[in-house]
Amino acid sequence: MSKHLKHELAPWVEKYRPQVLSDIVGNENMVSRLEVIAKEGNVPNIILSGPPGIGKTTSVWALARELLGDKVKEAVLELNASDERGIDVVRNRIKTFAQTKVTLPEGRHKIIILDEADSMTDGAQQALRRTMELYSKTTRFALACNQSEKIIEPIQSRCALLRYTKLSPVELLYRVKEVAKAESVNYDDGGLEAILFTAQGDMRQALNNLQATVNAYERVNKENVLKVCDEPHPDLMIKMLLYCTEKKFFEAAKIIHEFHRLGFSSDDILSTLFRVVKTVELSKNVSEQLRMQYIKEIGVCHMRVVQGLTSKLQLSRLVADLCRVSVDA
Amino acid sequence: MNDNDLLTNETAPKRRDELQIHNKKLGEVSNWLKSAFSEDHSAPGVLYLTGPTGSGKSTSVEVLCKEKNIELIDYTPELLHDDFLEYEKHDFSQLIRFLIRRHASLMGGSKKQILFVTELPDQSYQDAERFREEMYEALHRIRHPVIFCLTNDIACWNLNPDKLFTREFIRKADISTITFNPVADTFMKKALIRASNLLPSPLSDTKLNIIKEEARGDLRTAMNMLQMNSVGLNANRRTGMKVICASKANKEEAFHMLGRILYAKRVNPNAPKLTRFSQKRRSSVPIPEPTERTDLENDPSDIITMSSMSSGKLVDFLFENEPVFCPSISNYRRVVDMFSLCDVLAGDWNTARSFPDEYAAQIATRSVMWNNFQGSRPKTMFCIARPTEKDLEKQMTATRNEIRRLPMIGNKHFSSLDAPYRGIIENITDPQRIELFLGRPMEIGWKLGKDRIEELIDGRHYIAYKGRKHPRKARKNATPLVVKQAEEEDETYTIEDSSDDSFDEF
Repeated sequence: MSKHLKHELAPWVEKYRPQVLSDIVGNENMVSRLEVIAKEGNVPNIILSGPPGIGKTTSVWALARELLGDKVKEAVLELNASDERGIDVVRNRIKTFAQTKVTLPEGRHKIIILDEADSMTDGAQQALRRTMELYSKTTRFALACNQSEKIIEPIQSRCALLRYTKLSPVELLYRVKEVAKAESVNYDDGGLEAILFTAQGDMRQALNNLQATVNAYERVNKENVLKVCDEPHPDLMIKMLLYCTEKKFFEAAKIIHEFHRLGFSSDDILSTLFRVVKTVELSKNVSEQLRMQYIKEIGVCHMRVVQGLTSKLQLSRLVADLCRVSVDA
Repeated sequence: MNDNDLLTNETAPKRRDELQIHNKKLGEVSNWLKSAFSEDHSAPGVLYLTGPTGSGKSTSVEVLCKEKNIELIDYTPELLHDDFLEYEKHDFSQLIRFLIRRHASLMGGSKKQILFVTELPDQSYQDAERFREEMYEALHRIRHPVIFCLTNDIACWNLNPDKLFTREFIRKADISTITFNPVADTFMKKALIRASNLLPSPLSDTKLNIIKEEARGDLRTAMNMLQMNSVGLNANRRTGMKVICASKANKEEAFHMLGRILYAKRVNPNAPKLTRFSQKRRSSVPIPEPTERTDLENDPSDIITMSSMSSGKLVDFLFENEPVFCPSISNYRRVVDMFSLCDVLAGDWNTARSFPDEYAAQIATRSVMWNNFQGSRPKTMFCIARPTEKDLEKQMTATRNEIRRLPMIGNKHFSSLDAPYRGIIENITDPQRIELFLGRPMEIGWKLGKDRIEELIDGRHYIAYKGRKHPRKARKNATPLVVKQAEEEDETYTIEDSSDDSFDEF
């Protein structure tokens, strides 16, 4: 495959992954701190934690690239969840890397990147503890994980913890638009809105959905995005909620049963419903108070579903509950 | 100073007066070191030194040994090779060989030596029984004193050394124990100031305070945060007030967020059109608040996404501050009702993994914002209170640790040491006193601390809260007795007496 073609087919997530820290959107506070460190050197051991698709790995690599320049290849060791990371690997591979000599400028260190560090076993993390201390003169660790609680305390104690937060719709939109322009995508506002809605602060998912829609339908509009992402249609949900506010139980139940018939899991239906209720403009009759009641009912129902009661009956019950609170209001 | 190393290593204390650790603990370690080399011991001593991460365990030992001219021999399993120069699998045999070997001094001469074990083989955590057996054997044959320096305040029970060093084993193998506590705030501050002053550009006091708060008694984390925030030529100016640290990456934003939720400002039709310049004037001339419920100024979802606070924490904060802002009791009831639901949603551990955390935040925020309409507003700047529950929990763990350190029942010092705790236990088991505590006036809160609470309640009631004089009992014991005896009897009967009371009621 020619290099050009390969580039063409690359996932946009990879193709447009920011190479320098200043290109990263969101979490400005922390990223700007990392920029200063990238200039000055002597980075401490760090843990980046936060939900997926917000730029943790990207930040680490960008930091490594800015710190080490063209030495990146020799001076960085990356191990992610797909690599074998048992105790022996930590003992041998990481240690061997820590011991190898690489000539680096003053204040620069070799970097070991452990992606998805929360999937490492406790034993392996324990073994890491000592290595971190012994080679701190030459090697620094950068750990990326979704839940910092899964990293054992001795490791947390040896690192500076940076907690990344979800990206806001504005930040997502900025980047998605940039990519869409660079790929000269044919899009409309409804399409981008649907992409932001389905991605929920996850940049990776936003770009993947964008690319998938373009590959399948060329045009990015609301319909196509929702078809590709296969989510319960929010417009129908809004309609259902409207029936609930008007206390039309049977009409509302028909819609949610239709979702069920189409094969959406109860979990999917409820997550989408929650997103709709909390973000979308509903009819005038839905006061703040009622909206809160809706969220409460959906939350309680979702809890039951997560506990294992995924039956259609629960969905019907939810609709009935929604109608009931509308009557009270 | 070379800037090639971690601050944790670079600023590590070298002398005893630089250690920011309670003198009592240092004394304990120092005494043990002294006794380990005293002549009258037949076998070399063994010390099990534990504590949370970053509490200064190993640093204390290192500094004290240097001071006493003792050589520490580190146990580093990774550097051992077998006959073919291959890495050996790390198991018991290595550790045991290390323990029972005679170590020649690297410094030459007849320097005193101590074996320093900071890491145990993985095998030991999997097979605790065998570890104890083998250790028991090995510890009889050691030629040098040994210190096991391990972190025991660890959430993962699998890796907790307390699982291996059980009480029984410690007693049988005659091991001394010393437990370190998390570093106290005052010490932490001093250590931070010292380290910060070693930097090319010291950090401001406010920043150090934030780091201190965040580190939660872990000195090593504090140093890491310091390094994270200090790199750069003029760290203070460059980032302003912002400090990047563990959980509250944006403390200020969290503060604004809580304010927005609690004040629940609504779009005010009376207000003049807002421009950036008119903002100042607005604050000086108060405009009447809208009398009807208009739209909210800030969308609740936006507020929630703005901060990185977890739902549980958010609910804690709102719960703590809501009473000040709530307009009426019935509104407060409704809000608290929702808080309790949030607690159910967020607190269920078996769904926690797959259940979206955001529900609780949404419900709590929206119900607070709805119910706080036309609520009371603090006249001056209001300081948002931290959840008291956290302080209470902290106090509880402190007391629990204190009690845990008491000697076992039957020990000869038992009675003298547990005496101070009798008062606490009695107050807990006597239903009458609990009633008194629950019926206390509102201004007596947990924050005051146990002693102050007792003092205040005692001052308010005819019946002593903590004292021994129940009116009825005073009559019973009115028969002339030697004072001392009467007191003793009182103490023993307290619990029985009150349980009788409850029987009568049924």
